[in-house]
Amino acid sequence: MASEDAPWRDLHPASIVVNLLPRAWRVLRNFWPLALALLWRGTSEDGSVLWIGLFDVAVISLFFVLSVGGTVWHWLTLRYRVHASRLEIRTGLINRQIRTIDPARIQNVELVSNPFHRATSLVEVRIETASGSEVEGLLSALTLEEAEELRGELVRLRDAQRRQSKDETSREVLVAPGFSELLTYGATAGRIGAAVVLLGLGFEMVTWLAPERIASLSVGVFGLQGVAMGLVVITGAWLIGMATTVARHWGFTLSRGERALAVEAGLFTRRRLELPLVKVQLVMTSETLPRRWLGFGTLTVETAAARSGEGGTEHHAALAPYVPADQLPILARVAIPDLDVDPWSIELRRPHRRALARILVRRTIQLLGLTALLAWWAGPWGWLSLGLILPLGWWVAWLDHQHQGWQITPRVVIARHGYLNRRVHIVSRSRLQSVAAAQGPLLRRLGLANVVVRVAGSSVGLPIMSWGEGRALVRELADPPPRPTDHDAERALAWLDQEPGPPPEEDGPGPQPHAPVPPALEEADDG
Amino acid sequence: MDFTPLASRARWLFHLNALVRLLFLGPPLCVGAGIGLSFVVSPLVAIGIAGTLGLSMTIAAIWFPSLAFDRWGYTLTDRELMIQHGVIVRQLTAIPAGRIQHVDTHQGPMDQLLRLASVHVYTASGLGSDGVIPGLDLTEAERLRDRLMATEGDDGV
Repeated sequence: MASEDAPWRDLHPASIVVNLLPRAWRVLRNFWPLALALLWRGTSEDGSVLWIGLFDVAVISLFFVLSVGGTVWHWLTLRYRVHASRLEIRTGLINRQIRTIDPARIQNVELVSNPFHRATSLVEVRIETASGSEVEGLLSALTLEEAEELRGELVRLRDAQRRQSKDETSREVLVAPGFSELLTYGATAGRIGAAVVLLGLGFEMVTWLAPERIASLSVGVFGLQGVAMGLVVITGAWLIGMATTVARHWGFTLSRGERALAVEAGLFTRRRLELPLVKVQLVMTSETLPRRWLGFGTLTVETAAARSGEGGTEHHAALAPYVPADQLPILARVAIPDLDVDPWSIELRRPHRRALARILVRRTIQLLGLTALLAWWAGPWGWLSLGLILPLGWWVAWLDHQHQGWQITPRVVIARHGYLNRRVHIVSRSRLQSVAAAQGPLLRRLGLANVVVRVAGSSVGLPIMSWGEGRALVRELADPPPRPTDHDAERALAWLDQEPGPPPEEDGPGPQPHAPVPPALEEADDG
Repeated sequence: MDFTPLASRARWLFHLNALVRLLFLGPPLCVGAGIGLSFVVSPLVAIGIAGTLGLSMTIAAIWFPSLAFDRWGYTLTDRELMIQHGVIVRQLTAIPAGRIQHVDTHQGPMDQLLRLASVHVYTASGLGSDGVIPGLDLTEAERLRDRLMATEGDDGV
């Protein structure tokens, strides 16, 4: 197909219909402070009506122009083709821009279809690389055949460049949580931010349609009725959050092919994401307390993908919502073949004793700010609540300090934070972009250092350690080991294939599903 | 570890920059604070507070540049570039040589006046420039840039 002069192809005309709502939602999400201001203004009782009207009209028309105009412009001006073994995407009319993407540089190919896509049997193709600016190659609304053809073409070109022989047909499903498990995840996800916005929108609707009801409500808003209403709102938000989470991860599967992890999920918007194993930057798990009780955690795999200007990168992540606790190290190992220990069973190094002082000081300042806000709203009761909140906050801070930990092995950096939400970050040392140790006035007084390691698109902070230790660590980590080869990745996969037995010709014991791994390389980093 | 200090003229650069900042930021900030406060407290107290603010800003502008200059240092081995700096927040950054994506040399008007340049080092971390070294002698900056670009390696992306 890579002929001498391949014709430019355009998006399906239905693109306008299909993209309108998602784009409107994106615009709304980007301008949420404005939307919030709109709601706030709309619900306040005083204020002149005319001014509110003008403000509303301005915001809504801006929103309209951005979403509708943007959608039509996108369809009118975007063209693409595969030419001379490269994907070219042309945008703009006056300021014409042609982006050329080398298939070998492609980090992720994602096929997304929202309900409108499905109604018109179209899909959106997202292609991301680690270099460049803006969103790389967003092809909204191609027919499914076109999209599959394009994907196949790109994969074929990429593999041809990498002299790859095997095809991607053999896939093994690693994680496929059922409905009840997704429900458990949704219940513990605590994502109520979006739900609160939705409820706020609903509230606004009511104020438009039936203002007299709101007037009767606002009489008792500070009394018991207010508390009850708050509870209802929070419960509602929680339920909505749960429903959207389940819908988002509906039919989730995480599978691995020869060289890539593939994630597929979604009830209304079905998305399929491929993460090449050699591009993985960071693995992060989150096990909140309820999740630990229920014996599972979530796992996020990040690759670097371009999103913003300045040659910048942003992480692009695949999230496995429900992973049984004993599967976490196995999945982490699949994503980071470098992982030479089981982060959940080795003994981690503790944060510095004096770091507790820093956590307590920070927590106290945060809580004081919160209480001041509460006192402003609820009067002296707010200050009285300080007596309850502060010790609780200190206790949680102490628990956090007790459960933090970090470890450096010859090949990976492991950091663990938090008690209520235990997060484990795993980074391959061959991926580190830079390392920095910093100390502000408080940390200097305590002789401590805050060490941050950066990979493409993300950074991970280690628990607070002594300044001397931090200095030594910065120097040690600045010397990266060689990056993992394809051979390493294959070896890791081979290790997985033989789960029950001991790994063959392995230079270090890998984590096994049921037998905890001894801290194999712990003494190596004492120098 | 031995850190190379900046060019000695950079002390003047820091002082000049601080002075310019003070001249441009100081008066509006002080006047603004004074006017703002006069609504809350009595005018005399407001003037007092604004005056103290101005005085402390002036002292800081005289005092800080020298401290900052003394704290700046960098060292380049064949494996990594290390930078330390910071008066209030001290920072030590290490960038593996192979990970450097590109290097910029900047020359602002002050730099040109003093024949200095600053070097900005970018990696693929996507969080802006990971390392900045200001106030280098122009030839030294060019030498450093060439040395940084000479080490090629795998960028880890």
